[in-house]
Amino acid sequence: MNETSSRLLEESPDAIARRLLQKAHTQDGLPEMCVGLLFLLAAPLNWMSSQLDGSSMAFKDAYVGVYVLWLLLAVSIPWLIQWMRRRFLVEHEGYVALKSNKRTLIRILLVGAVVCIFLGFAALWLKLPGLDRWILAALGLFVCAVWSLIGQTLRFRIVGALNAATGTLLALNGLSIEISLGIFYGVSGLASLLSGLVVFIRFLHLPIEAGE
Amino acid sequence: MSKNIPRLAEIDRVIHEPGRLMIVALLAAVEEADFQYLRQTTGLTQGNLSTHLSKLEAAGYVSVEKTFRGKYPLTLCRLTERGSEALDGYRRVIKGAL
Repeated sequence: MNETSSRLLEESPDAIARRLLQKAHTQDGLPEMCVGLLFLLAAPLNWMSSQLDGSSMAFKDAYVGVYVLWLLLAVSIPWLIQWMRRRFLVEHEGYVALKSNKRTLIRILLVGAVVCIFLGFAALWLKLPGLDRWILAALGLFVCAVWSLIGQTLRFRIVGALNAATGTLLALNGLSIEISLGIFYGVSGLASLLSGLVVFIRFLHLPIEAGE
Repeated sequence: MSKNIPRLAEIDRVIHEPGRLMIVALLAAVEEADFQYLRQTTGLTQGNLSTHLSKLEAAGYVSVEKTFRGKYPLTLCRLTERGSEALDGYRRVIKGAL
């Protein structure tokens, strides 16, 4: 029995399914590219929100437009990825219909709500001297943890480590919080987008074997 | 040694084979998947996957349906009720033995 076989028999069927589904979900780089786009879009959004006071109506409209675009993109990412895979990548990846997992969705929404409440309190505390710097470092570590947990492969860990390092370095320098957050989202978004793009291009160049 | 070890003799040998275990575990986690998706995800060769699916289909654990999605031909695979029960039984035996 080879190493893969013995490893398989040590895992529960549910763990095997989770591992295989995760591998399938991250093999084409699309989720990273979408998250990268979200982060890149968040960078100007963050800067724009700091410039709203005393700005023109057109600027405020542009801000609302970018914000709505960001929200729409954030909400539609799972459907967007599924549509792209079924429309353009079905010959490479094959077809799958996933089970609707309401429990996982509720769990994600709850975690999201807790994170939002935490960030809300953090925003109030930002007025305290010095604390905003460490929220940047915490944000970097949080994104690093999420990447490492979701991906569990080297490229996700590298992007995660880059996020943690960027957050920590920005926490230690003297830039304003708006500029620091803009840089953080920009670096994180670019790293995710490039990582996803490289994986996507390599994936498209894999030979397609004829089906059964 | 666990006194439950003799229970391993009851194990479903159709599911216990590593390749088929991957296929059944994966199909249990999704509604349906086609041949190409199973091959991409499990890393099995076309011949191996085809053989395993035939055995699972013969045991009544998996249903295979040939269809089209637009111009793209699909060999859709689903875990049957019997396959789901067999997987539950397999889980129980493995859990009891460990």
